[in-house]
Amino acid sequence: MIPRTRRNAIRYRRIRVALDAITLPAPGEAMPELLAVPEAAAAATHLRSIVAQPNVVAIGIAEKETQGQLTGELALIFYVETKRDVAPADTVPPIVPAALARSDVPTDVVELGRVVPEALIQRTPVAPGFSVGLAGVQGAGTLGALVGPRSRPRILSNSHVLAAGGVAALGEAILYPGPLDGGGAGDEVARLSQVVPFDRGGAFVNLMDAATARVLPARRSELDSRIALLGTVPAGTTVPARGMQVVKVGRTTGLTHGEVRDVNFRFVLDYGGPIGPVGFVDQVLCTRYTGPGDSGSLVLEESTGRAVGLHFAGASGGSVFSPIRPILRVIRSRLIRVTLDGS
Amino acid sequence: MASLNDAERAREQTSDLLRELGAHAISVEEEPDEAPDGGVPGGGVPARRHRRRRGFAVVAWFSEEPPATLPEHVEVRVGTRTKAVPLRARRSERFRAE
Repeated sequence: MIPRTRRNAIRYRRIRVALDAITLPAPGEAMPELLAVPEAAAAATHLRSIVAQPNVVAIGIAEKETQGQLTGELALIFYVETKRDVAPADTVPPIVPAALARSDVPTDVVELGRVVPEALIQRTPVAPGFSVGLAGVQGAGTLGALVGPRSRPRILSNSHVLAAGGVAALGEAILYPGPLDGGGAGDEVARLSQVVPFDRGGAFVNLMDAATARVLPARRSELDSRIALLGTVPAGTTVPARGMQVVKVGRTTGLTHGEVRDVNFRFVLDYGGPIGPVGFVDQVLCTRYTGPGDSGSLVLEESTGRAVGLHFAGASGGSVFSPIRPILRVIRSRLIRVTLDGS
Repeated sequence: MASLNDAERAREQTSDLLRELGAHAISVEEEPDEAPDGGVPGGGVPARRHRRRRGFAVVAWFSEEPPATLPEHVEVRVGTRTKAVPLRARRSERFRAE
């Protein structure tokens, strides 16, 4: 534990000022009074250039370490992916100049390794909420649900997750986890079996981004119908309504909550490549509660645990899912609601 | 004041036109609260509180500057009458597949 001394309390405030000065949005906008001093501005600019180096992965305030021993003194810490020799101009100075922190405060460089987002990734059992993707495509989405019949179960996710938006051919291999999360040839879990085609061009006519893949017989015993982090199966289905509180478990952001804002949302989604813009109608706009890689997540009504949709798109303005009932009608299937425990 | 049904009808009738004008998304949203009848400007407590009525608007989402010609209202036919539904423009990045 860092000693709670008056000296450290003062030092913490001073380092915090320096930290803000070199990390807040833009020099000149942040802390205008401090950075009006030319020496402080020059120091901040220099430290900003160091923080901008690709090898610097984070910056913070922690106890300084010297020759493997904690010193009991706070320092401005530059976390790097690996410690390496750099040009003198790019070297972290041993102290933060007094112009920026009112008195000289020490710095330290700590090797942290590569910082990557933590994702829901596993190889077995095969359960909703975890990473899945199409072999040969460097991506990953979320396994949304298991759908029947129980004798020949399928996994449900988005077309752009399982079928590259319809470009993939039926029978292509589906990997669990997806290729982006390390899924390889030994991770084949299913074969693409059904893709709901897009009506391309941008007109507001499409109702869903959905596809299914038939689980390989050899992996059926690994199926776990319970949604990751929730530990439950969907309690049926329902229709979305404005103000409904929803929850989903996705490969990237895990368990998160949102609120329905609009149940007849129309928008154009540009998938790029050979697909281009696709217009959607009667979609469900929610508050923002998802991130890239969450596509395919089953969205549930929070109060009842009933499935309400399949997440597939987002922007800073919100997250969008397709209502689940039309999807199940089109794929002619039902959610598997009995508990399979993957054992 | 436009009802939810009026705004939904307006969205249905105008979304293709709005898309041609550059909108990448069209939502229907509740309008911000207005001072209730008898309310005091600045947020004072009204002497007599009336039941709050909610109004809705069509919101067109643009990734670029909305066209200057965008009208403030769109008109929809409700039976034999014509109703004006507020049309709002919003600057917002395009949605992406996640």
